[in-house]
Amino acid sequence: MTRLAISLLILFFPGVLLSQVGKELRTQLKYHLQQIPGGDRAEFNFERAYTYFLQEQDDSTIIYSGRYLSKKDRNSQLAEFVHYFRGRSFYNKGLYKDAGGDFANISKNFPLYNLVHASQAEVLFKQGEYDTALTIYLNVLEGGDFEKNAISESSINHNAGICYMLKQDYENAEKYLLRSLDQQLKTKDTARIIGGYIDVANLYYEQYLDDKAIPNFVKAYELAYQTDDFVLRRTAALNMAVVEENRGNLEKSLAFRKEYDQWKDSTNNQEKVWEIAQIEKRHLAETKQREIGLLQKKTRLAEQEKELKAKERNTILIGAGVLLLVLVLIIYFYYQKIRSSAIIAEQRESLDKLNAFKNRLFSIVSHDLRSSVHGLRRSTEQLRDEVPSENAQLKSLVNQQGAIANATYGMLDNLLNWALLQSDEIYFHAEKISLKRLVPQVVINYQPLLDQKNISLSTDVPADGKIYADNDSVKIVLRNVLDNAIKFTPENGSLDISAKVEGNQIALRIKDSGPGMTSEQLAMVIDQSSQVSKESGEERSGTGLGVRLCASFMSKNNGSFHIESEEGAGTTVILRFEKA
Amino acid sequence: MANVRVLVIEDRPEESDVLIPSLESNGFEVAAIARDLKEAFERMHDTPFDIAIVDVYLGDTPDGIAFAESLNAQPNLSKPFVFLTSSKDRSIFDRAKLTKPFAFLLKPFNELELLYSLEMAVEKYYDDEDALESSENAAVMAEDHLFIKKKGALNKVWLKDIAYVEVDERYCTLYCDDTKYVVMKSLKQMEQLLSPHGFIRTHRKFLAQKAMIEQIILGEDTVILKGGHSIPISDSYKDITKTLNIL
Repeated sequence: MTRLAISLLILFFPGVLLSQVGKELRTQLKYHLQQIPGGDRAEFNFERAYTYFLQEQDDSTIIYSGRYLSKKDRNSQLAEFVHYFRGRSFYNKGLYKDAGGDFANISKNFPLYNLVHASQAEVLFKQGEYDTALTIYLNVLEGGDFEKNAISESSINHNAGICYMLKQDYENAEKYLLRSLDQQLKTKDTARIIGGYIDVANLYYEQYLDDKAIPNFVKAYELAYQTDDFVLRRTAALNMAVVEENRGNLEKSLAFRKEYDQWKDSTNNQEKVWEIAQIEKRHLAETKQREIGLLQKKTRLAEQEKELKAKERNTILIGAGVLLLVLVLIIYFYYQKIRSSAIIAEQRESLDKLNAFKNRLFSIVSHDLRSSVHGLRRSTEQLRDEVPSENAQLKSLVNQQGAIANATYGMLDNLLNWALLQSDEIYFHAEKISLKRLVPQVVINYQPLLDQKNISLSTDVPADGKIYADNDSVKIVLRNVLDNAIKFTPENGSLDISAKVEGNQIALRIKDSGPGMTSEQLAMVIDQSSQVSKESGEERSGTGLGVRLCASFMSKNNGSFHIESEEGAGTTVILRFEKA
Repeated sequence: MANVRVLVIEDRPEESDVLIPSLESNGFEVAAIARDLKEAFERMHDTPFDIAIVDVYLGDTPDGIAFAESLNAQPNLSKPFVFLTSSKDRSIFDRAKLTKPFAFLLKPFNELELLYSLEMAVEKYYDDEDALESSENAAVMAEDHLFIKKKGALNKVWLKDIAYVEVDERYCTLYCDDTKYVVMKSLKQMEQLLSPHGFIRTHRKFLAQKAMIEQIILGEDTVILKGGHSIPISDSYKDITKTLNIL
């Protein structure tokens, strides 16, 4: 690895005399000049030289200084000032020999002699006379009174350090440079601090103390980056480039080198670059501003979107919640319904069972009882035949017994049929029936009763009275109607049975000559035919069941059951059948 | 003329004791009484009868239905019958109604109901609806005889005993050896019923049994029948002589 010459780097920092006429210097000059009596200060050439010096117009300073010095009536004290002016200007112009000459013409009585002395050292330094220069620097440092001489102590230390460095006396170089840096740091003069760092870094670098050197280079670079001083930035960048190249970081080195080149070019047209930089800055700022604006808009949009989404989400959530609630309610009510219908079904089932059992019980009981009563009825009939006609009382008793047996039998028969009908266990077969043949089969059973009450019966059922019905159910209806009619027909009354074709129906009328019924009574009877009435009196209970049974059977036969009655005009029951 | 013979199948004497007098007082002849299914089958084969009255329950089982079913199943033994039952319970009827003809008598019954059920059985069996509706002069044609209702009672008249039939308006008079029966049927109806049994028309108003013809005197337009009956023969029916081998 080849170590590039660090001397390439700007070491010189001739801040003492050169570059600028410092504030301190101006103050000191003004003060010391005022100490010189007489109006010589107003002399044209001196005044010009002084003014141009302050304005740092080196050429004009040299011209007017020369004119003043060539004058014979010049003030010797002022002449020494002028020598200083010209020496400095020469120095600035790089005319170190002439500068040295001028500085040599200044006596030790000159109020700012140390400054002049330091300037001499500076000139010597420029001329490569490092040893001599170093001696003078050290003298100046020993002399003190830096402020009065408008000397920057740090600069002297620095220059001394450089001298040592060039002499390769690194130990002393480090001592002075660090001292200088220390002092520079106090001045808060960025340019100087950077210079300090660079020099210290160079010092270490020269000694291959890279670990110590690089942080200083980096510090210098970083500080330089904060300034607008292109020279400094260029220098710092170049240093970094060299350092990185030596470290093998070619990529970084190249970047720094480019930066260096950029600054080198920039140095030539700083103004333009600065403007461009400004424009760029502005552009950058605008771009940034726009980006920020865009970002803000985006953010706003995103926020709005977020808000919208949140709203949407809330709506959905609320909707879902409502739906869920509805669902839960539906399930709840459905469950309730199922439960209640299950209960109802269960109750209904048990009721049906109970009812079926009741009907079964009814049919068994009434069937068996009916058989017994039938036996009783039959034996009563036999008994009646056996009773001697002369024993009227016994005959009457037997007749009475027979009547009771008949009534009971009829009731049981109704009960049985009712039970069978209710349980739908009755055999029901509709067929063509001749009323002419059927009516007598029923009437014959009532002949004894009719004879007993001396009721005259007329039957007018023509052969065309053919109906479509269930044979036995018609007989049951007819039995009930006749039972009732005979019951309410007084002795010697009459009973008319007649059938008549009425359209597609056959009407069978059973008319009695009984007392008839009031409309209230009739309404009650009709009411019994349509519903179960538990309040009906005991004496009518048989009738109630009979009427209901009649109505049920008639409707099952697709017929109808009607009662017409008028008080005092008898009752007519009309059975209407489907015509066959 | 003969009585209608009834086969009674009834396990309980108290029931048959009521039934039999009713039948007899109405001109029926009880062919036999069977107390159980075995007896019923025996009587079915060894006793001629015209109608059967069958109690559904013989004992505790509905054997009456089984009997009716087997009666139905044998064409040469098949006869009209009536079921006797004390209950209209559907469970019994559902099976019983499958037998033909289906007529039933519900206990307790009166005489009219008994007669009606027998008439229904005959009407249905011989497929002659309402033929016995009238209490007088009603008739139903059976295999080799006629059921004739006279004074409300069913009688049986053998076809082989009928010499000739004479029509008078809506009535027909059947002449047997010693008796005559009036039935409420037209001659045309009678001709339809009797011609398959060897009866021929001799006159617009007369129908004669070929087997009974003894002599045809064409000159006098007269046909002499067994039993001394003589009936007219008209010209339009004289060609019947060709079908007779007598002359």
